[in-house]
Amino acid sequence: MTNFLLRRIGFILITLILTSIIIFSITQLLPGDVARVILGRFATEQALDNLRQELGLYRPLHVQYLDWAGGFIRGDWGDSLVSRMPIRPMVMQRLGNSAMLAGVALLIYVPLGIILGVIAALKKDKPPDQLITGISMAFVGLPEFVTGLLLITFLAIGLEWFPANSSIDPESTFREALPYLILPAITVSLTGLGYIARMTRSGTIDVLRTDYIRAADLKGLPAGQVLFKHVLRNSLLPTVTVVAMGIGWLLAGLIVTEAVFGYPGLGRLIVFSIQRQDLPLLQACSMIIVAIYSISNLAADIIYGLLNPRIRVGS
Amino acid sequence: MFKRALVLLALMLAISMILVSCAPAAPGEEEVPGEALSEKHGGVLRSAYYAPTNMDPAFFSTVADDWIGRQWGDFLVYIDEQNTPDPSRSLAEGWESSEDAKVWTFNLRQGVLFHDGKEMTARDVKFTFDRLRDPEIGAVTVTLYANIAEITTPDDYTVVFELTESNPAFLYDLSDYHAIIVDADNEDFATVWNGTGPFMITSYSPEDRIIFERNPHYWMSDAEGNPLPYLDGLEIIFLSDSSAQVEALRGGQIDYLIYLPTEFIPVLEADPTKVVLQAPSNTSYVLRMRSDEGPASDVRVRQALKLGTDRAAILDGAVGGFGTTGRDTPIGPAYGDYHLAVPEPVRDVEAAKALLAAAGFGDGLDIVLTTQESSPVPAIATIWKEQMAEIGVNVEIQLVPSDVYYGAEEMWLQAPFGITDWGARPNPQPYLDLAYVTGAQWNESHWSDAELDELAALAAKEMDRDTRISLYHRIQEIFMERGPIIIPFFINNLWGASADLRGLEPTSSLGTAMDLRSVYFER
Repeated sequence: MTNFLLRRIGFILITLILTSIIIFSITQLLPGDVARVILGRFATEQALDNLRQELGLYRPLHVQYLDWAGGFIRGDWGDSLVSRMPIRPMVMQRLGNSAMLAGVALLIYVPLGIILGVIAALKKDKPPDQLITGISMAFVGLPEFVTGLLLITFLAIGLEWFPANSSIDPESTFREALPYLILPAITVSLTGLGYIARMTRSGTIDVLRTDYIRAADLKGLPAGQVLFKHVLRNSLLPTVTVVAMGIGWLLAGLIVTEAVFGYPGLGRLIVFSIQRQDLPLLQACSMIIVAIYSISNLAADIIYGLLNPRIRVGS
Repeated sequence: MFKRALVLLALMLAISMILVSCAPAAPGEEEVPGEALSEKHGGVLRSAYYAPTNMDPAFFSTVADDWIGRQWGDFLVYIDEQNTPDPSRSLAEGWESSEDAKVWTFNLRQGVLFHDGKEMTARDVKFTFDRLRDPEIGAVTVTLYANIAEITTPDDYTVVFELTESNPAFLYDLSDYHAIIVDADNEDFATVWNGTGPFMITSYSPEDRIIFERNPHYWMSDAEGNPLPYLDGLEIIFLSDSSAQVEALRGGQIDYLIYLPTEFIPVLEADPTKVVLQAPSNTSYVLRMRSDEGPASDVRVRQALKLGTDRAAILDGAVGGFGTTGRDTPIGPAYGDYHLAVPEPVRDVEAAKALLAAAGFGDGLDIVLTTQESSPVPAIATIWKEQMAEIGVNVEIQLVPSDVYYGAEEMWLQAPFGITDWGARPNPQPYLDLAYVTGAQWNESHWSDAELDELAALAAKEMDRDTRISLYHRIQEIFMERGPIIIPFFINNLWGASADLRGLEPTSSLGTAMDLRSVYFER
């Protein structure tokens, strides 16, 4: 197990280093001159030169990279080119906001997805199953900017249950933010729900087909007991993996949802950093997202291993 | 029996809790709001606009930069809604100039405090303008202030500007939007906004919003002696889409919007809870023709294109009629006496065709019009293209993003035909000096006219207002006769606001310049 962990962590570190190089190289290829983006169309050559000097843009690329990477590891993520403010507090705060949104979304779609998946499996190929499978697939396929705008139209503007815009103060507390989190969280949930439901459904169907379930049925155990004691504890294993991996997707993949609702999370910060060619900010955001993805994947594997004694990782 | 399910549930809850607890901790107790100073005081004005790109006044480049700067800063000379310098709203409470307008002396208001409590003195004023004219720093104002020979401070409340050349319009130069008086001891202008303005920045999230609170020590007061500003604060949310900005106003999430796009005006006017404010301005979309090469180097072609243009149709079609038709001169009707009031040029298709034929283009003329992809420029181009077709000119519209138009290749200075947006300025002289005299920095039409050069130079130094008026009138005649530009219209400055907002006074200057110091909510 220890070996396995060390190896996986090593892989994550390599991934991060490679990603940082790739991100750094790609951002260098972006068209345009960051000094001109910052100073505007009528800036004087002198001002542009001063700024490039100040930002260290004249240094060789590998020096720029090493400086940046070294600082990143030491926890000094540098200053944003555009706002000149320290990057780390900015990114961590937006990450916190994205985490609040992700947390609410998880609480909505995981229980709901499991319930729907089990119902679908029990009523396999009957109308409830077709309905659940059909609808959840439709939502998986619909992009967030469609579901988001539909929800805004019906629930916010039509019924006025929720605010249409989630553009809250980035420093809001969870309690202040909660009313503004529901609608974006539902939007995300509609996409996530389908995955969970399908995973649960197929897992449950597989288990229902096994001999030990048939034996349990035949020996006359009550249906509820069979379901909870014998079916679910086996069939939910793949679902756990999906949930853990979903965290990475939730934190990193909310760009569209955050843009639709104007929610001040990591996604909007990334979009901004790309628009303004704020490279250090873009690099920091990307690194955080890659790290979260890697760690949540690792967590998924570990949890799977812990829950399923048949799997002996690393041996 | 539910052990596994419980483990799963607990796990999920734990994850959610961890995620949720990543959120920032609750701040301390809520502030107890102070007692209202008057019934007009209180309330936070919420608005939405594009995010700023630069927060250091010397490097302001976008409308957002300028608008934010005006809230935390003050000007040495404030230009009022009718384009007149107003000492009662300026940091200088009075000024005088020598007879030849070469030496300008300003008396500073005493007891004006920066946000950090330091008193603003002559040293800060001198520092501000020295910084703006320092070629080493390279602010865009270096050219504007090149005429300043020396700035001296005889005492803490007196500043003297000595100019190389007479400049009767110097007060307007001092009101340039970069010229916010800054703290001479500030060490980082990009992140420390220590101004003397009515509002103080309390939080700035570059992609999200900026929050201001009222400056409790602000130096201005209203007619009853109540301290200004009335508002407790401002909150500007950054939305990079004009329809989203208007939606936010319609939905009541914001109270105020600058540079309202004309296409949304009918919707807002139909809404009793909103008001639309407007004022004529000098903002124009200049259709300029290269007059040094290509077909438009022939004055007859320029005249033909002017004659073939139906200005009112472009005004109505492109911006819904919210403006005034132009006379193809940069000195528009918002300049009062300086403007030469002549009737709108009448479109004459036959005369235009005859001129084109005389210039050798009787069989038709093909031109390429470089057009920024920024409303309302494409609409202007499309309508003009149709009008030109009727006089036998085939216009090919080349659409480019604004970034490219003004980009490193300087397309806006090079293209044979283009439409360039020119912002409002309180005084017409800079247009001539920047864009129309021979060899000017932004002479996008590459025009060179000896008579215009001479008149523009005379007007720049002319002390007598009546003589200056007649010089400007003659200049406008030249533009109409043989100038290199077509100005279909001057667009109005437009603002949208909640109907309960009071004290909004539309201005002909920049749309950002509406004075928020005396704005309040009616309760």
